[in-house]
Amino acid sequence: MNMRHTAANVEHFIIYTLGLFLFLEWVYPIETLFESANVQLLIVFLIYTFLVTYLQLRWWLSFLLKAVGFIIVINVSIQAKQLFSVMPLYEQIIENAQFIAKSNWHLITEPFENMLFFTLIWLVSYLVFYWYIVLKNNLLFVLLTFFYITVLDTFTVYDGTIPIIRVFIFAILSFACVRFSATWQKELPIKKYVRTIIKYVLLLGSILSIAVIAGYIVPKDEPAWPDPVPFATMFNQNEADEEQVKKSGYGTNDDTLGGPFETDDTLLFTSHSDTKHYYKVETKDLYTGKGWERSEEIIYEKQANDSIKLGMFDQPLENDEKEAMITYEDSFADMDLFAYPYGTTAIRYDLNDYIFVNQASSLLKKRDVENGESIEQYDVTYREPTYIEEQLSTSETNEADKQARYTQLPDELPERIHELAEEIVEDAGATNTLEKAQAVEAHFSSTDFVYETTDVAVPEADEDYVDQFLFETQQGYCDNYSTSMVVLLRALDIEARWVKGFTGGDEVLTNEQSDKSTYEITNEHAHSWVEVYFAGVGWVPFEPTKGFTPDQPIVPEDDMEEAEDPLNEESLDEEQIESEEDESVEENEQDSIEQKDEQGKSTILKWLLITLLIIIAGLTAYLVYKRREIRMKQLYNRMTREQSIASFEKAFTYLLKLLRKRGLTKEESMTLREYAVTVDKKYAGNKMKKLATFYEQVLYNKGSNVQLTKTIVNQWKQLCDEVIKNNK
Amino acid sequence: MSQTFKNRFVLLLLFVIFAVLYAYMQFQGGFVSSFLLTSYSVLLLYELIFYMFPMKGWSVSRSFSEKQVYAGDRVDVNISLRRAIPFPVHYLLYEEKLAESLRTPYVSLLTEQLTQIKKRDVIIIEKAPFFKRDVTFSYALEHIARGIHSGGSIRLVTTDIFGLFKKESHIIVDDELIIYPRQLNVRLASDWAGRLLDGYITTAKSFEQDSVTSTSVKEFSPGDKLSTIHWKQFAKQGELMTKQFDDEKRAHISVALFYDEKNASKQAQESAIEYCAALFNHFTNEQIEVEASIHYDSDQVIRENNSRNLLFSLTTLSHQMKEKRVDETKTIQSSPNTTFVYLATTMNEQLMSELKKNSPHQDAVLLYFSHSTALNDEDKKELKNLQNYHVRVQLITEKTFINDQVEVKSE
Repeated sequence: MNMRHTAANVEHFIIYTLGLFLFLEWVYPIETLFESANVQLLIVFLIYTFLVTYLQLRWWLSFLLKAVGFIIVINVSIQAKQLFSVMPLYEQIIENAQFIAKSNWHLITEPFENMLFFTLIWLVSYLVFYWYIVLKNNLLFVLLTFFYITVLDTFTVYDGTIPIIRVFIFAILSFACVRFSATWQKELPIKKYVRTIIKYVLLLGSILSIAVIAGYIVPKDEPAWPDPVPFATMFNQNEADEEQVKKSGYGTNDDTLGGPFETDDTLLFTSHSDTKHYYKVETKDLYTGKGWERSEEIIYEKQANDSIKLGMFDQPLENDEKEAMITYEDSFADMDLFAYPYGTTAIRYDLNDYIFVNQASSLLKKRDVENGESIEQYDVTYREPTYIEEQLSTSETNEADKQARYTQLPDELPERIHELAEEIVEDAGATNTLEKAQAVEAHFSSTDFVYETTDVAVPEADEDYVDQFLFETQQGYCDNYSTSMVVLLRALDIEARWVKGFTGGDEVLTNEQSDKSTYEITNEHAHSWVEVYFAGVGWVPFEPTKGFTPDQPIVPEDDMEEAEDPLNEESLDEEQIESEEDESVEENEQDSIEQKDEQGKSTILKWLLITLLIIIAGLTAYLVYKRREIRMKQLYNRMTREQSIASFEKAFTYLLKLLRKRGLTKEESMTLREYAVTVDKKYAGNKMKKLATFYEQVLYNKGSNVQLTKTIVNQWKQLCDEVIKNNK
Repeated sequence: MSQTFKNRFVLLLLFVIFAVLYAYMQFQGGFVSSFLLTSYSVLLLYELIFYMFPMKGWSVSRSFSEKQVYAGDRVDVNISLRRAIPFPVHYLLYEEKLAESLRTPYVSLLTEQLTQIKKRDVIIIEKAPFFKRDVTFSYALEHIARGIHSGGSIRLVTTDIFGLFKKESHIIVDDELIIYPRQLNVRLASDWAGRLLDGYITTAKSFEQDSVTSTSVKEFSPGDKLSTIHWKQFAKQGELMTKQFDDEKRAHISVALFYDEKNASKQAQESAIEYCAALFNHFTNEQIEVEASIHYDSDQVIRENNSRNLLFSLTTLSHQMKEKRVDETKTIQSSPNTTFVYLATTMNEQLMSELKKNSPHQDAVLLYFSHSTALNDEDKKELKNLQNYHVRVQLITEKTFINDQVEVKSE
């Protein structure tokens, strides 16, 4: 073999092997993230595809080899008896295609997951080859690898300590070697090449060792800057500039309300729950004229976590227990309060003994917040309250029993608010607390009020927040409506408080076998509403905000009974229901075990599929872009292989087609020779003339011994090259 | 995009990466971010040192393997470079854009038989000096063309281990490379010599037979031919005397080269030049008085009677250096004893007027250089017509050359 050729081979081998090592770093973390993934098999397949690509066989042969390998590893991964059968592959695709179509990510089977990984590896082996050998630039790949490892290290359980050192070494080595190979303009003779590359690696190695050792021994500091993730998702109203656009979301500081906000769909938590309902987080009682504060310091009391008493209800709740499993996302990680549905009786999380409760502000807090550990996941048991109209209308609170903090109003509150409150009640003819509250609630549904997030005013220094909204702007979002309602009620001497939390969120998937649904609650679902106290019943939520429906409507007693009836009727066939229940219980148990996995899994699966599609699209685009070169190469190869006249005729026709596309059309009147002259004029030379002459010979001496020579083939190739390149 | 701009862009990019890693470290803390930042900083430091490192302290000198080089020969060029500080460099590129005159290789009618020689533009040599302070680049120029070659630009490029920055240094080398016309050995065929040098031979014979015809004697000086010693005088006076002859009695050859750069082929032209030099040397060696004249640019003439000067004139003969020498316009002196050897590549007016002028009493040979394929019937006819001017025509084509030794004969 030619010496120079060998040098190039050595170079390819080194570069490609380093690329392989770097790509292996993408596979190792899969083991940590996906318990189901068969990493050993992935690595075997990865090395196999790299080997096949490295050999640079004919494209179809290499494709075939990879496809066979693919089928074998699939069959091994599902432990099929036949290694070469395509049926399991086919079945998997059919089975999982429908899950993907319905976005039921959690149903996707493990073999199919593995299959996706195998496909990804297959495709990436082409990409790596393209980056390393064709493009001679692997910067993108190197940067992506760093990005991948750091993201995994930051946001998942994957520990990147040792991998980052490996990645650093392989990435720098492989980047340097690719650059080395691209730098030398001529191929070095093998002896010189070996000598140079050894010296080069020594030089590079010494710099790299210094870098790695320095990186290893340098003391590791804790983060000096605050965590950017909650910083980006939560708005801090302390710093609220009047002009500043806030992001929607849950904030703890409400002492200055007003101003526009941008919608922000950062996912905060997901809830796997029996019903869709509001999530309450806290209440506030002190209205300042600008916003909400608390009238007293928060003092928590310990409560057993399976019998939480929030002081919300004056009577025990009677409805059936329901369950919700709530998972906080990392974006919500610094939230130390539980979001809970109305009627919560128990919260279970990793430490199942007690939690901190503050009744005055309706707070539920994780027990050991000092550790800095955030809430990740908890199960809530709740009995949905039912508010019965009759009970509420008969409720009377003695003046003496009223707590001043729930009827508090600032002294500067404009008189016209009191007047408006009286007017509303009078107009509605309301007599009891319920009617008054409903009248005030209904006041906001008039067409005068508009729901608006962007064009929302901030009160001037001497202006009241509620006054501005009620009489001037009349457009705003939940904070405007809820605060205004509380203030109007208090103006009527009704006990009311301001509630913050979240609406029910978006339903993302319904498990048909289970009664539960999964809801995603994002920053957009942050909400505020109103609670009114009814003696003997408790705190009852009201929803004044335009466009929102109340979490728990107030129903007449008759309706209640009716609503319960269907349930009773359903129990006609008890056996059936029992068996169904059994099933669903089983499912539920399984679900809750796998739930945590599935949350991350579905996101990763989504990304995996997106990545696959992008790569496939990229490869297709590349093939389409290079289609002429590819077709030309094919025809060329066929001519050199067969040396047949037929192959030349095909090639010549293709050339004519290419020329036609370049605007060089052969007119009817033209002879082939005349046409050849015009072509040669454009592409300086006499190649077309030679080809045309040969073609004529072929045409007129059919069957006789016209030989396809190498010169003709090369002339054809050169002319094709020129024609293809000249257009670009 | 210029290299400086590219380098600055890369520098900016490196700092952006640093900023990103720094921010990552500040936000995240822990091993991964600190490791990345520190290790990257070490590499960045290396890159910065490389970026700031000056290339100005490098001294470069060039030398050629031989002092006197003839066209078609090979010249070995050596460039030695000395670096002031041995900063480790794994790649050093020497790139020389050859002077215009060096790009096209030597061609003559003779080279037709050689394999085709590629045109060369740029010499690229790559070296990996690492810590070495002295680096030598050497290359050979094969089939070098006649002329005085100077100019061309040299560029040294080096890059860091990651090939991110490319640093260049331009070197101006003001040395000249003089390439003389290729040397031919001319052997005159006997009949040709006989006829052409009739006058000379008879003169010599008559002189030997009849010493009385000598007009005067002078003292012998080293270098005079032994046959010209006046032995009788020596016998009489005991002193070595040599015989002196009248000018008109002595053979005189005029070699006239008609250089027509515009119309003639390069090969024919080059061969004509080589013949001119070779014939002149041949006659000089034979002690025949010879004068050469070079006719070019339709009315310019250079006259030489010294073989060194002629060689130099022929060397510089090409339109790039025509302004170098300007001689007064003179016609070839015609004395009855002068034999003319014309060397031409085209039948231009200059040649015709010379032929006409000398035609009444001349004994002349025209060596006509051309590609055999370039001659058409009309040309041949015209050449035949030249006999009217008492010129014998000999056609020299690429077929004339059998080996390096050239035989000149009449038809």
